[in-house]
Amino acid sequence: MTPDGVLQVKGLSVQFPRRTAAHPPLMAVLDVSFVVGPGETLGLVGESGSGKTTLARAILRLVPAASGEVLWQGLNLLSMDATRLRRQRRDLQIVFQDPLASLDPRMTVADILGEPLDVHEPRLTADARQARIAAMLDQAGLSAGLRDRYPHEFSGGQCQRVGIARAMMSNPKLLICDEPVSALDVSIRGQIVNLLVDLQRDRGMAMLFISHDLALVRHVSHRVLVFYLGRLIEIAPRDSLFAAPMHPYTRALMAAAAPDRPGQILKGEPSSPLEPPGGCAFRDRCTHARELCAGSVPRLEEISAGHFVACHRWRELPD
Amino acid sequence: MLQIDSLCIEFRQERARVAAVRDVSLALAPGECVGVVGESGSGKTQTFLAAMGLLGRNALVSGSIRFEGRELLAAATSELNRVRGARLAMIFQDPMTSLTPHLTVGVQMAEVLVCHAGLSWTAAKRKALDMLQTVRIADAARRMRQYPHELSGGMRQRVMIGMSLLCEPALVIADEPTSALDATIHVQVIELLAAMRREFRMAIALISHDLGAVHALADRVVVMYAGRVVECAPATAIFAHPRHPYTAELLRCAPNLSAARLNRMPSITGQPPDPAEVLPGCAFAARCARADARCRIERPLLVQSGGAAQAACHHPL
Repeated sequence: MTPDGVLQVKGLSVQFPRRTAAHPPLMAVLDVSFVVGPGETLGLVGESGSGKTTLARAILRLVPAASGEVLWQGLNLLSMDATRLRRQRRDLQIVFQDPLASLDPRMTVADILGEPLDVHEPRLTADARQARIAAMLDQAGLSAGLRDRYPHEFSGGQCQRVGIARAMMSNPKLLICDEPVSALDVSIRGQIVNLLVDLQRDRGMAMLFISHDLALVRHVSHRVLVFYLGRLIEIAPRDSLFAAPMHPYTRALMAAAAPDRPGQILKGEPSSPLEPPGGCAFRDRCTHARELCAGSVPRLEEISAGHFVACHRWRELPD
Repeated sequence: MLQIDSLCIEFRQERARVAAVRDVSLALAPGECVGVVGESGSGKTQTFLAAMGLLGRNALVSGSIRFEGRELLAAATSELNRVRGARLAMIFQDPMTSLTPHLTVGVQMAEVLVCHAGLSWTAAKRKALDMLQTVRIADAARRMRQYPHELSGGMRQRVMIGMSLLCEPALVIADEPTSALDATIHVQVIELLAAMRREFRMAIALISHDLGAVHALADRVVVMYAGRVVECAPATAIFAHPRHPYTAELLRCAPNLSAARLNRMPSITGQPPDPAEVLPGCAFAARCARADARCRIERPLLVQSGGAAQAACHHPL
């Protein structure tokens, strides 16, 4: 399958070595597989330290993967040489969490937006380059008068608009958004999210949208993937996941975000990713855990159309 | 118990003076939990840092902050030191950077009691251990001997909360106590604060941008915008019937998984005003759907607005 604009992640694992060889490496992402279709938004939720950002970085080869494949339009990004990878990166862009730290403080907005054009379209005339920058500023809701300003002169919301505009300059087919609004005030978040959703609709690009905020993920996503200690534990179409979450962890997350929903408050905290429990990684916090859960890692099973869950006991869980 | 009157805080900067808090007055009764909400830069943290005597050196402060009959703004450091940590305690947002990295949990907790209550180290450590159990830290004896970096974020915040309660303070200032924590841990910490409040009966000033946390804990809510109090009302009233348009907009923007999914994500147009600017009218006027010519010229005062609510608006809801 090599259709246009499809990202396939197959068995991707990322590990970080420990200081001494005596310790096993930290498994930040473990055997994760999923697909993002053209124009689709896949939401990715999980707690801090669950490996969401590492997964995003591994897809773009900003951190090396230990095993697995990342197929972009059928080509494996992980085995590509640097020149070919750079050509593909035009299609694959990222918006980072910290809006100010992700912009070069010594570059004006026009420089920041012009750089992707210099890299990917070096033969553009000066006039065409200026026109593209002006058009993007307008689309990102930034007035033309801001083009010669520096990042420190902007508010957080404006910086994030610049970060999004930069990512959009090369007309990507897949945009990875890593907690794009969590550094912003609640009253500003909607502005930025609506901008992303509009850009996606106008250009038909796919998005991998990482966030710990379930209400936000529900807002933007077509499908949602739930991460726990580097493992994919549930993936489902949005409405199916929010109407009938299956994994006990997903249910607990939803109970925490909406106190009037059934579900119980979790005891304890996630295990250290340095010493994950054997078997199901969630079993030490799970009230439904049995001996079986310690024995083997649960595999993803399809429980309804497109709704997959990795839990040994999903059949026995209450509705 | 805590009475803040006409508090103004300005910061001297290279070229200008920036006003962070403009004429804020508010009071806390014993045992009361007041939620202080507002966007970053609204002055909510600076107001309470002033009470703790923790403002930056370039701050210019006027007005009055009285706590248990003592004027804190005029107090000498030695006098403040008798109050801070003992009668008046603070929990910070980031539990990693607010604990001392090179002291074990046990030593830094016991130190509070040695300094403020004059206990011996042995007695202080025993009491610190009890407190770790009170804030429901499992395996407390082992945790006493560990350093902050060996604990998870949620556990560090429990240590912070326990430490703040050691001298049974009259008031705990909690500045975004859950913002750095994950959703499932967040709920645990809110529950713990509620339980500690029942047990120790201290007043809490809960500074937060998270309306859910405020809803769960506060008796009364103070809403700040651009350095001023724009609304102050009992929690039940403010969540059911906000008076100030800014409060209403904030509630509309709060993420809500219980409500139906909307097509557009709600937000407030525009941005808060630059704190270096002096605006003649209402600071929210530029972002407010109800604003008219009067709002841009005449600053509304905080006045009674139905029941026990106060709002600073010419056109309250």
